[in-house]
Amino acid sequence: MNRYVILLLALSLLVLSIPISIQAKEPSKEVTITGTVTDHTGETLPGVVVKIKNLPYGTITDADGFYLLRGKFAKGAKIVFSCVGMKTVEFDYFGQDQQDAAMQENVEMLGELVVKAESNINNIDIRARSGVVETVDMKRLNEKPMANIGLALQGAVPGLIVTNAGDLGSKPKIRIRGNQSLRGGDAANEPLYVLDGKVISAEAFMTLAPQDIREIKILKDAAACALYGIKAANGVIEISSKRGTKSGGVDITYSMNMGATFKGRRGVSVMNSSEKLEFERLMGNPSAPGYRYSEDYYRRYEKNNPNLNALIAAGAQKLDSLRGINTDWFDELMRMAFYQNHNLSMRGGNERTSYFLSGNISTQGGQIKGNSTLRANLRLGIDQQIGNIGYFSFNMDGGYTDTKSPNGSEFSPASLIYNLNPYESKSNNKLWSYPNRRFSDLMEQYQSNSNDKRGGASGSINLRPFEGFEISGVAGLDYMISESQQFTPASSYSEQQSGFPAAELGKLAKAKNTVLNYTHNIRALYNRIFDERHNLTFSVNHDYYLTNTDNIGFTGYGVGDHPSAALINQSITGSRRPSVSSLKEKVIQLGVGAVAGYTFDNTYDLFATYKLDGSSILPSEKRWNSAWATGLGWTPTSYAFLKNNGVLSRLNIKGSYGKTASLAGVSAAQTIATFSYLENAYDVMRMLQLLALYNTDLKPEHTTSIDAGVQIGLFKHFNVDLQWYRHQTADALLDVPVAASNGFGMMKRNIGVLRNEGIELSGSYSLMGEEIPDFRLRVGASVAYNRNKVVDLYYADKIYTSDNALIPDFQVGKAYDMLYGLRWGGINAVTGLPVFIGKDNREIEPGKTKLTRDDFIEIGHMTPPYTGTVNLSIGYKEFELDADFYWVAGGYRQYSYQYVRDRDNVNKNAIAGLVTDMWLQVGDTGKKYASPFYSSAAIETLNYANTHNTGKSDYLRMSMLSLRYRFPERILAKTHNKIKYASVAIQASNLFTITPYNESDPETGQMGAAIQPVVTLNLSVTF
Amino acid sequence: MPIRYITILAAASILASACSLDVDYENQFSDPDAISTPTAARELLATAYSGIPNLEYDLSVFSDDFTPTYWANTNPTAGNAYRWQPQSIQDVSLTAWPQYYTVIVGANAVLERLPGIATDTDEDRALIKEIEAEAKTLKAYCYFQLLRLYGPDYNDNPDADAIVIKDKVEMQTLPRSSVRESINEIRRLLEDAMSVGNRSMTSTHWLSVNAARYLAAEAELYCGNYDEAAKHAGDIINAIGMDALSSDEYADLWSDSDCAERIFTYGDINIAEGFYISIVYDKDAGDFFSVNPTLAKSYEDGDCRKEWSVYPVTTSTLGYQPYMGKYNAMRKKQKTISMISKQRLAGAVFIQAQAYALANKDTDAIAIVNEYLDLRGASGIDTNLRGTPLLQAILTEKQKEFVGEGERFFDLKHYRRSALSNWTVSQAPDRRIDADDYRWNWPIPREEYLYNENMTQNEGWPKNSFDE
Repeated sequence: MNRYVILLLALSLLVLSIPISIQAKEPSKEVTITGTVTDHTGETLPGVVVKIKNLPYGTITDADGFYLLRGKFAKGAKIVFSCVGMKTVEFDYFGQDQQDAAMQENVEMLGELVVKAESNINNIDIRARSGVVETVDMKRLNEKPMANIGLALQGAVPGLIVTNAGDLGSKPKIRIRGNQSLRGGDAANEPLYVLDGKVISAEAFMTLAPQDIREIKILKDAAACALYGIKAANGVIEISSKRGTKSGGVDITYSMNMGATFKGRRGVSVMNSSEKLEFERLMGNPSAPGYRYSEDYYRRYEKNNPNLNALIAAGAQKLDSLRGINTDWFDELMRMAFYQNHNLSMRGGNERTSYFLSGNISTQGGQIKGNSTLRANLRLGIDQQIGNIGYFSFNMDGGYTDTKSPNGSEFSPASLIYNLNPYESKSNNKLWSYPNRRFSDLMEQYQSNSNDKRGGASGSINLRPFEGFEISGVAGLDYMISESQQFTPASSYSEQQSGFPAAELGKLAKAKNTVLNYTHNIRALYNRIFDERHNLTFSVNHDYYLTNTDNIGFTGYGVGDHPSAALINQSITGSRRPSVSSLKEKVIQLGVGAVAGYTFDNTYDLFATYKLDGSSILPSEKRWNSAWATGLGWTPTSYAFLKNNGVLSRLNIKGSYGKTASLAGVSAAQTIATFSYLENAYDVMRMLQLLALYNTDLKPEHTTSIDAGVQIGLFKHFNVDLQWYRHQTADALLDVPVAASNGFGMMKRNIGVLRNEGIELSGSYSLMGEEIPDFRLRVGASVAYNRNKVVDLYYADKIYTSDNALIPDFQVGKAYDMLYGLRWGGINAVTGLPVFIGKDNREIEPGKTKLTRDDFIEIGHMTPPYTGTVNLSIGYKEFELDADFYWVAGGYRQYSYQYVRDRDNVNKNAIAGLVTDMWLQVGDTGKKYASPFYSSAAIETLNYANTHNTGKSDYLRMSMLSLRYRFPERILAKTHNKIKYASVAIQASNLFTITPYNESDPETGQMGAAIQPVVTLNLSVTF
Repeated sequence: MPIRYITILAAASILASACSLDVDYENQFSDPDAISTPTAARELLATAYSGIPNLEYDLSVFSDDFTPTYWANTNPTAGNAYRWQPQSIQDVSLTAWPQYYTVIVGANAVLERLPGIATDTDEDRALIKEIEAEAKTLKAYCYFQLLRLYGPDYNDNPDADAIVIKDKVEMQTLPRSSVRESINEIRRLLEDAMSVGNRSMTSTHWLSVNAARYLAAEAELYCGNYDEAAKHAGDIINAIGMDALSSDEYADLWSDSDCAERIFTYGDINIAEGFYISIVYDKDAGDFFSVNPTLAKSYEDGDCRKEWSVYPVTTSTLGYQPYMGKYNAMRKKQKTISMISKQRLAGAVFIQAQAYALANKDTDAIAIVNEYLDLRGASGIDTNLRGTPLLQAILTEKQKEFVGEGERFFDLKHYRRSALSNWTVSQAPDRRIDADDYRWNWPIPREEYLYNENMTQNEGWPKNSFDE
């Protein structure tokens, strides 16, 4: 393990184990107590009156159920929580700084039995007793000013790995406990998203606003996920929306963030004009001015010119003037932009009906001009009691996101930062770096816009016709329209060079894709407690998921410089003729399952579940697959002799075992001959195509999961949670290359067995009790480790997934994300080419020595195996400081080296220091970069990763910082209680990233696409 | 009591949703009902046709049709290809091999499904026959192309490993068949195809009986059955008539107008996108290659081939350049390229002429060539020519007809030890490719040998630079 990892681990452990134990003090006069008030289901309760009995100190909980109470009182005073429809709760003040309260509904007052509805009917208690269900801290999530909810989840829960994928608006990679499949990509590894009981797409999840979410649960193991069946093979992210309150009043909350986004990390530093011109002179390539205007050039090519001296003088003058220009293209092209977020919500209700209404909008500008996102949401949630036997909930929501980007597949303005020369400027009519182009030919070459419009509704009903029996159902629709437009204007360089007549220039592609998700779920649950010790639950469920996709798109040419479909030249024939595409498909998944659970004396938990799922995608004989799981839990602290002991406040041990069959990402075309029409035509005939080389022997992947965990609570305030898991997937599916004479390059096959395992450790410490007056501290940290390995391959001991891979992608006994490479041995002083050290320390000379597999060594994991967080909360009087850090370690990444220029490419800018660090002539020793006088593509050896051109992709990021001031009751009182609650805050996300990776962004691997720092001012008021 | 009501509701809901999981797709059709009509079978065959690789430009670069301009000398891609740099050949080989096999497997998919199509009428039965004949001709076409690129020439060693004969749509790791076996397979396929006379598809984008005859003639010429070759070529000439070779018809070849001379043309409607664009360095600055100047100068005035074979341009930087005409000229003139000529009557004439010359029927050879030249508006070849000089004269005229269309590469490979052994004399020193050079037989791409343990590699090429 490297030093960096050790450092980070040590830091985390240090935080985990802060043994702060400050001696008790005398009762103080001025006291501050904070806490969160919830109802018995864990839902936060706003508008709860918190008072000190018989003293004039009191406050009201805010929209998140949080309160802060200040006053002068001594130990023994009573803290009273009261709320309409709830039983009043009292606590003794014994010097504590924090007092949370869970309030029970006042059944006596209502005079009836009350059933509390859960909008997600799968959220049953028994599941969490033996499965691994973790909850995202929504307060912290809301403190991060980020438009993308997916990215904001980075570091929220150990084992939930979120990786930024590129410029603003792109969908991040989200994984729970790593990849379960050899197949990379979202289709086979993405978790299942469930909003209020209905399945939504990952894209729909990205349109959600954190402010509207009450709770996000991450379901990690087989026992927790089994209710969802095989769809949940990669874990589940369950989202529950905010609900109304029963306070009898109305809370209106407005909060806003306004601020700026910053340029972020710079990456490599490039040459200034003097160094660049000198470097060009040394390269001797006349396509760059440093040589073209140098004395060397004139003496060589114009030696017989009678005006030689005049030419040299003019050249020197030209170079001097170029030296005078020093454009910092990072500064020029990257920009600061605005971030804003506004949220208005209304929450209220009475004992029978409650509601939540919210609207919000946020915008964020990207680093590059033309890159921005906007997100807007509306949400309504209503809960209505039905007589005395049940509850009905209704949700409606709509969302809109819009993303603009100037970065296309062929050309990205971000790359200009490293390509344009410092002696060039925006006003140049002739660029050396891009011959025949002006600066304006590089910008506004391409524009892509995309937006998602989403609307959904769901209703759930919970009925308890008699004691112990509950029947519930949820049905929901989610409809999303995604529109995208890509436009390449006729004036763009690529169009001008295309060779097509003027009437055919300008490309416009537009697509409208619609996805309708329909879910319904029905569950019957019977729960009975015998002898007050035996708690038995039995449940059956049925679910139905329908996804209807209907896409339509067109591409047309001849629009000129106007992105309008009306301008498409319909008279074009041949390859630029207008074309239309469409896709319509319906996928149905159907499942039935049963769950049984038993708890003895709150000490032992037993859990078993079985689910059978069928999918319309597959041919009928492969359609039905099952998932089952069992779990065990043990809570020794429930024993009488351990109850209320001062040391061990909680001990819970649990484990689960489960099996899932998965055909995620597999379609009929892979198992049976399937044909589809192409958009193209041959002569007058439409074209029908065989989609894939089908494999009639294809089987589902079978994953066996073993999970174990222990939760320890010490001294009431020190909590440690340790989880271990091992997921083994047999019959792992992979698109493997087949001999080209089969007419297809790839075929999906069951190729082997892989294992994915890891450990997650998290802990927290809260400084509470009678320690320092007005001072609150909570620190938390987590470390997650994930590793994977190919256990067996059925057909060979190694698999190459592409024909030009000399190094196998998968090999028995090796991790499936291993970066292999050569050992660097320096640069040959004579040839200027790198020398590598192979097997048995033999020297490998590029182009001369033939490589063997044994010459390659494991450089490291491409996916960092270690991730972790450090969370810190400090409170003093009305001030609150929250900070989150996120780190990853143990990963390696190959540098792109695109800025290390050889002679042929010297007309583009280069990394600073090449003049001294590059091998330039025979005899140069100790250089970092190889000779520029050959084309690296010609020598295969140089294209591999090696120990010199790779770097650790570890990083430490300050992902969130929030400093909040809550206006105290005495100030709010001056508004005659018009304002119930108010606070201001400075909030920032991703303020800095520290990394030893000294090239591009360690996370995305892209130049100029690092995550943006955002700094905002937040204001939140509740009326 | 609500319980009963709820129970009924729940049961009804389960029943309602437990409906069939058999969902039809809008645009996905799975066996066994996917290909149930002759039209669907032809649509499947259309996809196979569209996969035919168009190597006209690449093969011309490897032949002596072109001379590099200044730009090719400064550009590694164009310059390396011209100098037969192994990597450049590997690059073309890498795409050509899988492309031809995609077509072959596409044709196999059609052939496998034809027996399953219910045929109620004679018309349907005839259509099925016709599609079968075309699918076989298409396979033969691809096999013959592959054979000439990847196998050694028949004259070098007919029993050497050549190509994979692939008859099924399923994953296989097949060994290579010999040159002789490959030719036999091609002959079998074409005999079947030529027996189906009636064809409903009149466009030249579909492989007709004449197309099958053309291939048979080429294949027989290739393996030395000169009488058979001359006979098949003669059948084509009789069917079309020599009048189709007139100057008027010739000009129509390079347009989207009808042209009686065409036998088989590639007709994917997307061809214009990239075809022959690689020859252009810069729209204004010029091309990487121009027509071999000796060849360019050899066209007489009045020869209708001249106007469309050479596209002369004079620029300030490069001076006079006889740029390649045909598709390149069509592109420069902004004319739509709507088809690519693969077989035409002139080709049949040259097959017959070569066959006659090689079978020592010199006068017959001269007669047919001179009739052709007369129709093209060119003077005839010397009627006193005999033997190799006659064959050389025929091949020179053939080059003038097919310049830039890749035909010359196959002639160089076939005649490199005989009639065309002198071809390198006019070449630059770094391009004098020896007749024994390993590069004449293209490398089996890694995509094949890495995943097929029964595959052999052509001599001289790396099997795998990694595993020794």
